[in-house]
Amino acid sequence: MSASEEKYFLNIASSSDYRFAIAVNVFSAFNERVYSGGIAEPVKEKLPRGIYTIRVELNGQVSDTAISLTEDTYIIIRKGPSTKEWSKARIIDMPELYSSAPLQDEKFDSYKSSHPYYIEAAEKYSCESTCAPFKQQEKNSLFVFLRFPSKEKFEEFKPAWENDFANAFRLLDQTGKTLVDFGKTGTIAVNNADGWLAFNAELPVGLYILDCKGESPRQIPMYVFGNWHTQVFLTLGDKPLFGTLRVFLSSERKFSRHNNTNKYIDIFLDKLQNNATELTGELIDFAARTKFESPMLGLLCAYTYFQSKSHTHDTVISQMVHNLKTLILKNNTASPDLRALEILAAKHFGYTDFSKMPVAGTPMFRAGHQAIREAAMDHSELIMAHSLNDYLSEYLYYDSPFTTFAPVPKMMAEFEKQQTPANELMDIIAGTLKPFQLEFKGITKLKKLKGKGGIFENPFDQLIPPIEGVHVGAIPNAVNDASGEALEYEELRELKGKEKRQIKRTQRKEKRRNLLQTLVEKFNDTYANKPFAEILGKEMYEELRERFVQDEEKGSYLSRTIASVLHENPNLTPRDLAKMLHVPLTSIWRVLTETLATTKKN
Amino acid sequence: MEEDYALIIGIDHYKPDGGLRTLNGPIRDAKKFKEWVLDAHGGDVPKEQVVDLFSTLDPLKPNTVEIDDKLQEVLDKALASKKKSGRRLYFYFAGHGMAEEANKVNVALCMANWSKKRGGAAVSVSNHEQVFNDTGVFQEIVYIADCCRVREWRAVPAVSEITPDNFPGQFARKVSWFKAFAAQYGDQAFEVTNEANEVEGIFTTVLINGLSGAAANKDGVITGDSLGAYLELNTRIEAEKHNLKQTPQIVHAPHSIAKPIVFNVTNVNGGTCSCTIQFLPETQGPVFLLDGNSDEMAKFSPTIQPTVSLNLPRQKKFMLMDKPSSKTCLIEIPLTQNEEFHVSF
Repeated sequence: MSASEEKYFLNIASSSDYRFAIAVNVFSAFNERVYSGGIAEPVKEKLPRGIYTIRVELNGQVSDTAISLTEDTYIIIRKGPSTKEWSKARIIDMPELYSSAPLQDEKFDSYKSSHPYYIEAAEKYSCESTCAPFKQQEKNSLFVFLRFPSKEKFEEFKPAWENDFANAFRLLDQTGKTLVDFGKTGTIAVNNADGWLAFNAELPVGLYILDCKGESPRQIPMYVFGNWHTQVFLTLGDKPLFGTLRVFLSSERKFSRHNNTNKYIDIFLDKLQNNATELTGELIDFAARTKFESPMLGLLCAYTYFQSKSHTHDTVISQMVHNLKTLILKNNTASPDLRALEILAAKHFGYTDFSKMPVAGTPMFRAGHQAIREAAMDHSELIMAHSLNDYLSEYLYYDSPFTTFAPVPKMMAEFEKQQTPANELMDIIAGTLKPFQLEFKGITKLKKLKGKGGIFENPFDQLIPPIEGVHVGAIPNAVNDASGEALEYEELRELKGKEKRQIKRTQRKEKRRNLLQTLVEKFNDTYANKPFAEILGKEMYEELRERFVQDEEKGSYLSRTIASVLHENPNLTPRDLAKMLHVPLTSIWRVLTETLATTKKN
Repeated sequence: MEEDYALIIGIDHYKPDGGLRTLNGPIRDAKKFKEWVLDAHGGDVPKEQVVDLFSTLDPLKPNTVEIDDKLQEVLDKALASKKKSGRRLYFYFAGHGMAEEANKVNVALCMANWSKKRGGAAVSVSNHEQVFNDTGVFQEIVYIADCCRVREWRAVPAVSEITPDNFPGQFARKVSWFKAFAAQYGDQAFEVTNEANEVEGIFTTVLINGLSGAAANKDGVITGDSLGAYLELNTRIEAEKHNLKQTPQIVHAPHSIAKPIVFNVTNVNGGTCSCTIQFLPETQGPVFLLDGNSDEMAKFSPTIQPTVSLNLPRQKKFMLMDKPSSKTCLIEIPLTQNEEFHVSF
């Protein structure tokens, strides 16, 4: 047999914790890829004699090892089987790992970015507050740890931060109001020699935003779950490296360098980031078992699975999502991520019964935001006009699996504030219909409108169809001139005369939801699938198109994009436009109405 | 080959304050690729069938319309030929690029007038794929994009103005593809300064080296598969020399009724180069020099001779192996290496 005809087995295996996430490629000296795949099970390939490169890839890092195959060869990556045939195996190491969270393996020095000065600081300040609690005796907290790749790198990057990196960060509430300015003393722990900053506070359940100032400002939503401690890690360079963002949920108010589950969160995040969404059964089982101590792992596993469109592990994932909602993160059903998972699960498993109530805030995961946006194509009530989710499409960044966005000018309309029961129904209806009409100021105008059909400043007003069984007044958003407040329902009813109220003020939540759905669905069913020219009439439509393109420098990105698209495709319907531009239908109505309002004024 | 064509685009210049920095490598890279395309031992494409487009700052060009103009030019040339079709089109682009929003597959090739306010000033790779598949003027498309695929900004690339129905090719929907992107979805491609103080794209450097012979398989042929494997392995290695991380994405998809794409059947002889191996103190030896078949070419004793010099062929892989420690090291001398090649082991 000639040398070129000799063949031998190349065996590769790993029993390391990371084996589910390791990818192996083997290349011959003659530019052939002879193996490509995972290493969850040992690999055995019969190959011609020759030199080969074994490339091991993990979390985006690679390491290459050259071997000469002149006999049956055994290669172990980090740790391997302990049977006799593997006793003479050559051991090669995995690639070095990098993480914003200063994690550490117990036996190996895997994480090259986990320096002792960051590990110790993160562990210390994850347990104690750096500023006073916002509400007494909360069982939930938020821990934010910002660091540089190393203290040497910190020295290099200092000038980019004008020597005070803490000053670039704030904590906001979900309406955009500043809660904590990290630049002010007494709010954080900071080390200007090693380059780290720690914020820790007991906070009420809800959505918070990490605001990052700078040349390209950005905001990151972070949710504090009831009875859990949210831990956020981010690496800074000459600016924040948003691709390095890591978020954990801990049952204890404590970060541990050796936390095994956090290593897997890193792996899942990398998969989501790189759209490598195929999951092995072993990885899913691990997530299923450990989600009780690390719900973030359960959330991530579910998100990744639903992105993959696989149905192999439906039973496990279905149980996982159920347990997250009803057991592990129970009483946190308002969480945008849990709402998004419910929507993704409904789509994946093929059922339609999921909550259609408006989503308050936005998920921490971009896949969650996109799921809500897509579901809102058919159920636009999920996204309230002027809410964060309404505006987010125009400001979203796509370089991280987490939701990150440029600061939205109009953060969180009044519809996301706490409402008193008396106003709630009125405001829900007003909020739904607001995109379609302007506010009418003053009771006198309202009196003129009564019984006459009225003076309409916006053609959409003429389009609101009568809703069977509902008498809420022709102009739900009438405003009292004196107080500037929306009219109370009672006031409106009185003005319209003694009409029989068919919707009681104290009706239950389900009826309110149905009313909301009815109103919006009715409108959307009638108008969302008609070309704009048909909805508005030819003249108004031409005026609208002209208005859109008039001034390139002004107007939002969305309005300019709509201008460009309508120019090329005049027969599009509002629903087509929403799908094409990946924005909620609500956003289309809002932009159109705002542009029409400007058009009429001119 | 007589029936081959090429459209080569290099964009250094971008709109000031538009959000994309000026580049220094793409035009040089595009010209290097053009040299290979024209070379009789390379692409061997007739000169009159090579169309190029390089950017300028004033006037600021190209834009998407100018790309369509050049695309139409090359389609018209092929349709006007004797066979009324072409065998292969080389499409090469170097410049800024982005991943299209929420689309893992498409790439937006940014034109000189791209800006954050004009996110549509970009060519859509997916749309080009459709145009070439629907026109069928060329049987094979080699589509190369040395650009980033970052997702930071919203990019909504433009649709080509070319109407496929008016370019009746005989290979409609029977086209074979070789697509080579310098970066994976969401990642960056880099340009670096070489030893001659010139800026070059890492991916194009490795590509030219591969096409010049380094990517040949055992039979001395550069196929779509061998070039793909070569690019995947060596782009990463080249990037790491500059402390960068870059992994290309290669798709070799011959049509089911067609043969795989082959770039060169000439066994290019890259000549030999002097190579000096410096053994480190911890390397005790014996050290073996092996060729690609693991056949022993030489044996060294580092303790007796800590430095050795020998001539090695360029563009071939060799391996040094220290027997006691099993430590190994691959050696591959690039085609462009003229001075002595140094290895520490």
